[in-house]
Amino acid sequence: MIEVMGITKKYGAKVAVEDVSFTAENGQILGLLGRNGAGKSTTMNIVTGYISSDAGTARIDGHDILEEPLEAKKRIGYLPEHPPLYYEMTVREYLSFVCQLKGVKKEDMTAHLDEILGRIHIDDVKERLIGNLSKGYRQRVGLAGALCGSPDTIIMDEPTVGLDPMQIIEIRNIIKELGKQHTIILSSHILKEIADICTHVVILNGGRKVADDSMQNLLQTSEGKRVTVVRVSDKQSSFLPQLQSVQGVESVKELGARESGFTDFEVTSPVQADVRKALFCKVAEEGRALVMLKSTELTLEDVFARLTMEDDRERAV
Amino acid sequence: MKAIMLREVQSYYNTMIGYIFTAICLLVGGVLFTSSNIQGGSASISGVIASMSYVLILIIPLLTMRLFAEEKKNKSDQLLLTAPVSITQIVIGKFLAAVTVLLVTLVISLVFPIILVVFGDPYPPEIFLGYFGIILLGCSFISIGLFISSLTENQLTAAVATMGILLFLWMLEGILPQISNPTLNTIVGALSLYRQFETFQLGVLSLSAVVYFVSITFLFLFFTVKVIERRRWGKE
Repeated sequence: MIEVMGITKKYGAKVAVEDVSFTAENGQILGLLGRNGAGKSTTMNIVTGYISSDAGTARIDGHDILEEPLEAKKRIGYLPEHPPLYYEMTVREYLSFVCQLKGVKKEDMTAHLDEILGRIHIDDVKERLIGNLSKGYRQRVGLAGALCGSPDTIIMDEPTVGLDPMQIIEIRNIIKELGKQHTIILSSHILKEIADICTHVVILNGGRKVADDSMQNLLQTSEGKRVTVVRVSDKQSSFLPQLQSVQGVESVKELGARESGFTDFEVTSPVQADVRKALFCKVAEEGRALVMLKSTELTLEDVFARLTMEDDRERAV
Repeated sequence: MKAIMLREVQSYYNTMIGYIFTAICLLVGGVLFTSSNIQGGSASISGVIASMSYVLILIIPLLTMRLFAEEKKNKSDQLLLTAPVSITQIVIGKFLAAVTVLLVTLVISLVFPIILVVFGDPYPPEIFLGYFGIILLGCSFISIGLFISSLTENQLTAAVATMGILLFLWMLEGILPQISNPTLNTIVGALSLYRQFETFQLGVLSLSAVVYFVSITFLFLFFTVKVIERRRWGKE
């Protein structure tokens, strides 16, 4: 478990992170979301003990990073934005060095390394020099380094940046797999990635936390509205009044004809009420044909844009 | 600490710097040994020791320049500083790695005194203390170089700055007679590493010189730890 408690970091007059708190429970994949310069990397660097905070602290499984740094650091595997690699070493040499730093016992080393190499799928490059590897492989070696010593928590700063689409999918799958046994914090500015992998999201904007919730809640509660688009066959009269009379519907907007002989309507309802069934019955009752019914959910993009923009506006005031 | 030291030693020999260091040191020592001891027929090692002490000014910076500067540039310091090892352990590990390369060189150079013992009649304390002195001198140089490497991201800057400081400390001995002010003379004299080193070359064990070099070494290692700690609180 990682508890971040009110961390603040200033660089001169510029506030990088301001009073940020959140908790990542065991077995959670927590996504740290924010624009460039929102304080994601700074937060991670503080949690892992790379830099110090001006106020506040972080606890890893109950060990304070400032008061018991060695105990806390033993429990963290960190993959920074630039993987901290030594180019003149082979993959295997590098990983065994990281294992030694993490205090892995000599007799367990070989088995531990083989397990990690297999898990991250870098078995085939283990004897090659890191300097000769491609970016994707280097990223994977960095991730393998974060797994050395079997830490309970893994912190990753933009783990998929600069990778090709296949590598991104592969790394994401590895992360999902890891999430079953480890507590994971990862940062990204790619919303799809966070939506894909994470169970919990913290959104930072300008160094402040603007949201901290489970992915599900964030998507549902933020707008409180559900939008359903229906495509109904035309008759002489408009169908609008009938749709409006359906129970649970707040408002209806006619979108016009997208297909000849049919008209599209946008039906807005509260998020708790599922009006799809009632809409279908109503259409059938009126003797019309329903050829399309699409429930559009709010995406993380919408949520992110709204929350950060609200925060920007508040600050401007 | 052991892991960090071993990695650095390995890195010295993977990147050739270790071999180059040893080669230069032995080349200069060997030339002097041939001319003064073999051709000159002398059984005194002091010339060789002195020549190696001068060449250390030029090549110790090669050894120390990368220790922290490179880590910072490659951001590999993030691995060390987020690993469960203390900053003191990191600094001492790196220091010992450079000392190891120096010791390996000196061990190979023992071939000079061995030849002297076999074919001549050297004065043993001169050999032992000469070597002891050069180890102490080397340790203080490495410590100073390590400190400077922790201040910059650029290896070349670190090397040139270290070289400059070591040269300056060496030149102090030459400047000293020109300084008439007794207080200033004492201060400058205290800074002169070579004045302390000379006692070893003469085959005299001076406790104050030992304390002097050990203090310099620890002082700069301590400064290095402080610089890195300070950077964590930094206002970058």
